[in-house]
This record gives sequence, C-alpha cells and structure tokens, in this order.
Amino acid sequence: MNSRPPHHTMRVPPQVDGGSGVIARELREQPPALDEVRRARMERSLAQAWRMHGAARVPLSRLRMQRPSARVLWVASIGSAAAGGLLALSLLGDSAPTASRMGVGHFELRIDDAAVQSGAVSEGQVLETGEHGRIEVDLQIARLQLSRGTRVRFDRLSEPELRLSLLKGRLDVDFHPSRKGEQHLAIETGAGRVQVVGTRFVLDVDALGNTEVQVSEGVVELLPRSGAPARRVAAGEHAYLRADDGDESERSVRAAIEQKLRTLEGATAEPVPFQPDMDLSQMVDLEPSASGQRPSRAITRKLEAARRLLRQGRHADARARLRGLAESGIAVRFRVEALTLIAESYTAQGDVLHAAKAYRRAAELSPGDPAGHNARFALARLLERYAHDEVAAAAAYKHYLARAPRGALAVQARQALCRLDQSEFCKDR
Amino acid sequence: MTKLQPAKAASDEERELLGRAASGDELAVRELFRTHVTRLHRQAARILGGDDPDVEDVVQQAFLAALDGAAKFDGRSSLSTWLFGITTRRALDAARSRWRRQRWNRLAESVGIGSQSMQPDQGYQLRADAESMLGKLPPEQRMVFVLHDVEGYTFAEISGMTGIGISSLHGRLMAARKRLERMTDGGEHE
Repeated sequence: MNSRPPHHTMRVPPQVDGGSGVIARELREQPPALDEVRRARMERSLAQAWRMHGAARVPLSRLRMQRPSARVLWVASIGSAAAGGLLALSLLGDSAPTASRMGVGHFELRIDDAAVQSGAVSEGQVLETGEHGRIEVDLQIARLQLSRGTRVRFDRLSEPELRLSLLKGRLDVDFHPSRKGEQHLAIETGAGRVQVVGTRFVLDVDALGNTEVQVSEGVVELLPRSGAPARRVAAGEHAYLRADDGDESERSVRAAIEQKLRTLEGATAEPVPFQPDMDLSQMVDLEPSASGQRPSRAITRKLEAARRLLRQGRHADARARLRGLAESGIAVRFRVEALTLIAESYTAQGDVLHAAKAYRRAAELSPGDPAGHNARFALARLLERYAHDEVAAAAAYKHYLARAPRGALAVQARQALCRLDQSEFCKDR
Repeated sequence: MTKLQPAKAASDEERELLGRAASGDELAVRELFRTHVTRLHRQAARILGGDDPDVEDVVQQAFLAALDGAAKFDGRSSLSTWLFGITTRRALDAARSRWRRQRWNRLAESVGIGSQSMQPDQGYQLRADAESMLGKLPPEQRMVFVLHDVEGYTFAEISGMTGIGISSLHGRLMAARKRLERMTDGGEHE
C-alpha cells in the first residue's frame, strides 16, 4: 500500500484487572486481521459501487444547497418474521411532489405471507425491501414482487407507460396490459433496458448493475447500455447483461471463458452446458469432510435439481434454488456445497467477483472444517486461473495453508505458491 | 505505552481527498479506502465478530455513506474519527439486528437444545475465546467495551460517535465487565 496512514489520536486504554482486562488485552494484541485478498476485493468493490452510484451524483459544491429530489421510501423489515410489528418506514429527502406524478400504484410489505404494511406508490419514489420482507406492488396493469434486498425506483407511472429502475436485487414482473401495443413497461438497470410488451419474467441485478433476465411467458427485449445490438429473450430463455466491460483482469477472464465456451461449442451441437473447472472440482473433492454428515433425500434431490439446471445453462434459476439451501438451517456441509455450486455457476458465467464472494462465504461458514478449507483453496485457484491476480492468489493459498497446513490440498497449494514465484515454497520440490 | 495527544481537526488535505472522492474521482476513492480500511475493518470486526461475513458489507456501507454524506463533514474532527464513528454506528446497527434475530437461538442454547458455534483452529484459540465471550454481550455493551477498554476512547468521544449518553455508556461498560468476569470465572454459560 502506498498511502500514508491517517493521523490518529494515540489512545491509552484503561488497565483493568481481572477477566475483562485479560479479554481487552487479548483483543488489543490480536486485532482482527484484514488480509490482502480481502482488502483488494473490498477496494475494487467499493470503487465499482461508487461508480455505479455516480449516475445520480451532483457536484460536491452543490451538495450543501441541493438535496436529491427523488423521494426515497425505505421499507425495511427489522428482526425476524416474529418481529413483524417492528417495521421502520422512513421518508427521506425532499417530499415535494413532482407535477407529473400520478398515484396509480399500491404496495404491500409482506413477511412470511402476512401483510404488515401498505401504502401508495407514486412517481419518483424508491422502494427498498429489508432483510426479511418482500414487497408486492400493484400497478393495475402490472404486478411486481420485490425480493429481499431489492431497490426499485418508479420513474414513470402513467397509463400508457410504466418506467422503473431496478437499482439492485430481484424483481418478479407480471405485466398484462389491457390494450396490447398501447401500454408499455420498461425497466432500466445498470446494464441496459428491458422492454416489455406483455409477459412474465424475473430480473436479477447485482450491486454492479449486471443483469440477468429469466422469461417465463412472452418475449422481452434487452437494450444493452454498451450499445450492443438489442436482443430478444423468449419464454424459457434467460440472458445475462454486463454493466460494463470491467477492468483488465475481468476482460481477460471473460476472454478466457469465451475461448473455453467456443471450444465447447465446437465440440458439441448442444447448447453450451454448465462446465465448472473439472480439474478444480476433482482436486477439491480429494479432501473429505470431517463432518461425515449424510444428506437427507430431500437435500440430495434439491442439490441434484440445481445441478441439472446448471447443466441446462439456467444459472439464475439454479442459483436461486442454491441460495435457498445455503440460507436454510440444513447442516453446514450442505450449505457449503450449495455455495460452492453458486461459485462455480458464477465462474462459468465469467463473474469472478461473485464467484469469489460465494467461495469466501463457503469458507467462512465452515472455517475449521475441510469443506471450508476446500472452498478457501477453490478461491485461490479462481484468483490464479481466472482473475490472473497473482498477488491475491498467493495470499489466498497462504491463507489456506495457515488454516490447513496438513490439509489434503496442502501440496497443491505449495506447488501453486512456488509457481507464483514464492521461492520459499519451492524447497520441497 | 503510547502518548496521549489531543484530537486533531481535519487537515485541508483530508478534506480535499474526501471532496475529490465524493465527486467521482476513483483514484481518490481508492486512496481514501487504503488509508482508512484497516482501522475501520478492525472496528467492524470487533463489534460483529472477526469471522462475520457482514463485516465487509458494513465497511463498504460506511465508506459509501461517507462519500454520499461528504458535504456533512464539517472538519471539526479528523476524517479518520468521522469515518470511525460512521463505521461504529453501522456495525452497531448490524449487531443489534443480528442480536434480535438470534434471540431464539440463544434461548435454545440456554436450555440445552441448541449447539454452540464451531470452534476454530487451535492457533486462533485465544483470540477466538475472547471474541466468543465478547459475542455473548448485547451489542451496546460489546460496543462500549471495545471502544473504551480495547481502543481507549473516552466516554465523551464514544457518546459523540454513538449519540448514547455518558451515564448510559458507563452503566453498560460496568455491566459488560461484570459479565465478562463471570464468563472467565466459568460462572456463566450462555
């Protein structure tokens, strides 16, 4: 790091005797560490998030005088479903209505299928779900369902035209106009615009604006912001739109993956199947789980169904199911397996950032278990092979070795470090 | 031991860096991040737990909130202190939310039908034990213990960061210490 440290006020913590003093000293002497992999990933993620946020930004010199005109209605569910009554509803920003606004919408916040709050939706508003609730919006000719962690802005709510911006999260859309051809729905995302003439589909937008569309009825048209030609996605199909070209490492990852896909396409006339890194999968499988837990039939069926979807190239659907498993109360080993499949799905689609996040989560879920070590190793391989980030990859391999110095993949980790010019790991060869 | 110094106001350099970052200069965003992330990450990790997957999100949210609210930074404290306060409040919110969500698990564990979380590797045992005990404190007690007894902030500074009154902070610190004493003595199994 080449930055200067900030000037902190040096502090003298009190010397307290007894157990609490020992704990304070222990925490002080062994502060939580931030390794280079995490640091690099967080930095890039912040820069990208702020870039995405930039569309609505105004010059700093004007910030003191001007507040955002859009009304932000934040519907947050706090606590568990049992705490449904504890809902925070806050209205931020300038509440002056715009001239063209029409109160044509109605929203309902639901937790575990119980309606706990409702209200009107009008132009310029932003609705955001919290961690536990989902919001259903009735716009007369369209019904929307906002999943957890979703943020939607209602840009235009007139009868002939509905225009929304999906800022993040997942949106389930059911649009059936009463006068076909005269009423339109358009949804803007960081990656492009989805235009609809009457259909059902699901839109998934990540923090960077990358957009995934899964159409279940009718046809939608995608207009990428990049200026690439518009694409039509029909029922049963899905499409993935990137928000931007990414940086050099992302571009090289995509190029490598496209090359791999071209090779696969050349080998078969079938649609491109899901192809995780087989070499990696085999290596990772070498290390058995210590838990020895057997999956129930239901879990096995669910995992197999997700794998089938991945093989069919239905990544969004597969990931949605796997996320359900990963967030459920099943044994940690199977949650780790679900997260690993999510990571492989993202890898197959060239989304290294999300793949890395999924592997990291898998590793964190099971830090002392071989399944967690495997995920940590897989993360290192991802950084080395797909992100071509040698520094981050080396740090990740070292992290693996620190946690599992005699793990089943320790030899491969040392070989990788030697390959990455970490000469101290070449001694054993 | 380190020497006590008075708190510093923000320098022109810091204000300029924040201004450039908030205006969309990516290099400035990255410099801001690199300069402060270690300390902010440490604070979030202490309040939420070192292995908590939400720590990174909290730190990112804190940076984004600071960039979004750059115009509100008045420069009376250093940029570092201002960012530290934002991170503390965000981490505390996340910890409170988690605490509420997990109350049934705690209840289940206390009556013996749940299981304690997995123990990490031996090499991490000491810190893990300390973190584990810290994790059993309610969020407000944990926060004041970390800020006062671990980081060395005064009650006035913590009050300024969190908006909680000094007498409440004092009471919570005493309760936190007492509870940690009981845990280290083996007298409390939660």
